[in-house]
Amino acid sequence: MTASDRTSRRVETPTEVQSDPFDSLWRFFSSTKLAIVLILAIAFVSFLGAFIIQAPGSIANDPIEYGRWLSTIRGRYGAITDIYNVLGLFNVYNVFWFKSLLVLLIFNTIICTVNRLPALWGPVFSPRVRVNESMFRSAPIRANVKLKQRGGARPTKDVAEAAFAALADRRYKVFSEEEAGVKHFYADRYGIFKLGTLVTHLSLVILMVGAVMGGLMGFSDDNVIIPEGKAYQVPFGENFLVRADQFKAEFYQDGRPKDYWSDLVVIDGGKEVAKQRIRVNEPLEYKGVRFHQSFYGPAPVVEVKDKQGKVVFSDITPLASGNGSSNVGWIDLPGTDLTFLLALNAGGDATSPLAVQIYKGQVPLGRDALKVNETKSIGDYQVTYKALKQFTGLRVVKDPGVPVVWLACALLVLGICITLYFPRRRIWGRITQQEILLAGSADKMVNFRPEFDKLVEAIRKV
Amino acid sequence: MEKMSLYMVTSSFISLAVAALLYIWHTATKNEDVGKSATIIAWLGGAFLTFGLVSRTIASGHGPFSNMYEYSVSFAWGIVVSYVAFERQLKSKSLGVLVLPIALLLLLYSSTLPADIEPLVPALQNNLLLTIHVAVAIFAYGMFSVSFGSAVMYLIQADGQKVSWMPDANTLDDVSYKSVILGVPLFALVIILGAVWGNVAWGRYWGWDPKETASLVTWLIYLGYLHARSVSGWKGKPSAVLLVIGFVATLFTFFGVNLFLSGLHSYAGLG
Ligand code: HEM
Repeated sequence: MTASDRTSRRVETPTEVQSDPFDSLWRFFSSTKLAIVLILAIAFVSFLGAFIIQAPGSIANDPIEYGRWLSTIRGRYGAITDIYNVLGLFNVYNVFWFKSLLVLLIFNTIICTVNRLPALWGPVFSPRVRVNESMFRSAPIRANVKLKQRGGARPTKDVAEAAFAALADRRYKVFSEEEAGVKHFYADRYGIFKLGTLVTHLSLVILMVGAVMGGLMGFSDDNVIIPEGKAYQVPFGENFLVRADQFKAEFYQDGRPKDYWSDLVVIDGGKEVAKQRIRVNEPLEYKGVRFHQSFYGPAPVVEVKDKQGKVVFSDITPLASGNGSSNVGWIDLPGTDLTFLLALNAGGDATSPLAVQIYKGQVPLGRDALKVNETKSIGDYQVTYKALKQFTGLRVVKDPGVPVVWLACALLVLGICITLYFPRRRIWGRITQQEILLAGSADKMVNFRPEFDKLVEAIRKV
Repeated sequence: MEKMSLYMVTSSFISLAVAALLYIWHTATKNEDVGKSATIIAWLGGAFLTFGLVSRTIASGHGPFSNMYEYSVSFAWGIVVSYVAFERQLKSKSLGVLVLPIALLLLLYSSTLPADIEPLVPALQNNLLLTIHVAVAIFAYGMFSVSFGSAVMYLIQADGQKVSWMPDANTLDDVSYKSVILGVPLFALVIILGAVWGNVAWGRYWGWDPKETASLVTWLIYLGYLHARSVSGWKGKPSAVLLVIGFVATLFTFFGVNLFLSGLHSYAGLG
């Protein structure tokens, strides 16, 4: 970048008068060195994040849970744990200074781009047609075409027209000026594609807009549990329900999952308006809210009768939380302060016993294990294990920023391809009665010489 | 078919090893015939590898990237294809001395892995998006490998023609640049397709999953290279060093994440 590029933006900005700090800030942000440093710094920090174990997203805002997590990690990192923690390295993608780096890069990109606009427009729409004479003597790629005096001098105008036609044939865009009988011209090929970097850099800004839209106007819940037959009220002001009619999982012989799916029904305004079987790669979408199949687990149906034989509870309970060896769920018995704890061995099926414990606060009042269809009396209650069903675990997301993000991605790739694959070729020329002087240059990596020579050949023929 | 695939991959390993030796012989002696045979045998190795991957795809019913074995063989294929494509560009064949051994090492590594065909977990089933995602990645990795080879040679050659059999610094710089400008948009596409898939499968297009992150980092390094040379004038050695770092990041993205880190992509690991 030249000094004139750097200052060109400043020409008629009113702030210029009073703000030197603004000026230096602007200069700081328009530095391309800063861009490289930022890009590499972000790369480095992201890399750290891939190496250092990251705290699960769900506990990051819960100091108690986070503290507990931190102590489990201490065994691995020892004394460095605290340093990492203070620096935010356990949640590095959300820590303020990493976000600041991203914001800085956005600023950097915007200001760099704005700063370069005049320098970018200029050569595309109003290039400098007249160049210093010395260019035709010193440019590494140049030529001198002597005009034959065929039956008297041809008017320069005719020669120029023929030469420009030859250039246009090769998809060059020609700009020209005339002065004192001398025709000056400038021609370029793929000149307009110089704006490709504008597309690329702009796409980055659009990408951020899309990401922020998702954050502000969307929501997500990773941990939506719906037992079979139950419905879930979609939160966040959405006014519809989703019912899970059935869940099924199939396994390979070695125990790895082969397929699992849930049959979901959307109920809006009391009516069933949509129905879909969702799988890992096949979410259901309704009114911009998507339901993704995420996890699953057992959900026993249990009936509890009190001493008088009255049914005080009869429902399905998801056993969603587990410590690895078992899946656990709770029933808070209505109208009492009792909790029924249900536990099933991990991997257990309808043939496995269900452990039931009754607690009053921390105090155990009784326990037993039941088979399906078995009834036992535990504490003061008759407990029947009626059936083993499943619950489906969904991720519910609304993200209106997604289309914007895809648009940005498309522009990003488009811009990169335009910039990298269509390098500009430029030719300056001067036509007089006797000769045509030509000088050429092209972007990096174009082997321009042969192309230029061919052009000169074509012009020689005019 | 599964057996056939193994034979093909083995044949390809042998061909590529022979080709690499011929490349060395050629660069040492400048014998044209040796050079030509090196190229032909490298092509043959590439063809064997292609047949190997195709027959494995037929045998398993899915693209060759469901586990580390398939993935490594595919990576080797990407390197060989990228290399033979570039050899036609380059006037010198000596790049083969550096690039083919990378493919050989990958094949050697793959031979230590369990090569059984395994059924796919649901996230990977009949997924066109995933197939394109990985196929494009293989090409991008291949390009980055070529740029690594030429960057290393560039670093050796930068201060004058030190090693007579290597191409001159300008040619090497040219090859690096050309492979990077193919690799960068391809890899951008890989990351974007990954994001599209993540959005369908898990409802988020970006989650800082280790594999996602490593890919982004790798891409950013190559982006740094492009900016360094086109904008900041850091041509020559500094940008060549970036390419070496970029390749380390590429390898980490390929292996490290699957082997050392856990995440959504660790399906492709050994487990
Ligand atoms: C992650 C963000 C960015 C992306 C994806 C990106 C992408 C690109 C690409 C693909 C090119 C073309 C490279 C070439 O010609 O070889 C380019 C050029 C350029 N970039 Fe960036 N860039 C980013 C950030 C920045 C930032 C922050 C700055 C500001 C300092 C910047 C300044 C430039 C400049 C000045 C050019 C040359 C433009 C021209 O000649 O018209 N870039 N960028």
